[in-house]
Amino acid sequence: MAELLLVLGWIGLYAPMALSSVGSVVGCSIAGQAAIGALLDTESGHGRYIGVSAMPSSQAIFGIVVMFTLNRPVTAENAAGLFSVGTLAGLALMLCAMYQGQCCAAAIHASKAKPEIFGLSIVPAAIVEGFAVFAFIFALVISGGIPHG
Amino acid sequence: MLPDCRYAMLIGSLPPQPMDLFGCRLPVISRIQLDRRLALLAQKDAADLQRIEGLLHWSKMQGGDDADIFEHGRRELDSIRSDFLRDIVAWRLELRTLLSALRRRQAGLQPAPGQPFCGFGARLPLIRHNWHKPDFGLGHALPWISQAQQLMAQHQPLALDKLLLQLNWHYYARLNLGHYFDFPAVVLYVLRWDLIHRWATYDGELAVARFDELVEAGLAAVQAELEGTA
Repeated sequence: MAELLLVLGWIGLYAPMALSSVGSVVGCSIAGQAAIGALLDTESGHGRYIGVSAMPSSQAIFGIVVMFTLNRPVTAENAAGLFSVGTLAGLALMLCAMYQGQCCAAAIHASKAKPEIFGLSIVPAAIVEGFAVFAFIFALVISGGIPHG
Repeated sequence: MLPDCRYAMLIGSLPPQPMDLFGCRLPVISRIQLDRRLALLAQKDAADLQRIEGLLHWSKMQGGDDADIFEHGRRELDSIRSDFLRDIVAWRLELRTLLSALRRRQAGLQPAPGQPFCGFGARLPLIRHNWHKPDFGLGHALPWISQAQQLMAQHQPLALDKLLLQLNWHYYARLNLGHYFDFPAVVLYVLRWDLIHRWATYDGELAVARFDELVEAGLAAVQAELEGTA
């Protein structure tokens, strides 16, 4: 039982980084594809399409920070906490990145037709980012209560 | 868990279509350019799109008698992999069946005795049973049918065509709301492109020339027969 707890603890330590990176890969890929498609159909504004398509990469950065914050010697006392906080924060960041990618793709597609709505069209993506920030901040706060081994 | 956004690049590369069908003078993208973009489709999806266009595009439909067309249509319809896409095609084929029934009745024809009315959709027995009613008893479920029947009776083919184009346009627009970067979105784009293309290429002079051609072709056989008997 103690060994299993330790394994879970190590998984929880690395989970925020791994899961958020997976989400960022998917999100950036979706938004990036939409941006490349938009490049084929437009004569200008290419830079901002590529810029928006990179938005979901922020979740991977949050994941790295959470991982370093959780980083401590894994013991039977702190393993459950590390697993819970790390895995759940990682899942939240992963989903945020995936769906932010879809928001970014939609924003690129919409602003291609109406360049004047570019600023407004990225607001939904920013709102999704807000939820990622919540998960990130609270993971940092709550990690302070996990014993340091 | 992964969202289905395989065609984000393809959809992203297509220019947006206008809100109003009848405001378009030309399709926003040429068929050559559209086909180039559609080359990004996976092989199976491209085959499905070809089947769908083959069933709905008049110029791509295969000839033959009614029974052959229905048999071929049903086979092709069944081979479309997605239920959603199959429903889209079935809806349009049913609409054409209803229109064909209206036209037949307008021409004074009756359904063949002892046989169901030939066509697509689940309403074939109803059409036969309610042949004498102006809207085949379907007016509540399909409000457009009464309007179509009136336009047909008033000999207004252009208004009737506009009604049907509009009906299709709104139907596709409504379905598109749930699909943004997936294969159904691509199919709906192509189907809407077909509608715009059809509307934009309407030409009165060409239509008269084509009509004359058809009449001449039809009369040629009669002429040859008369000359043979003379």
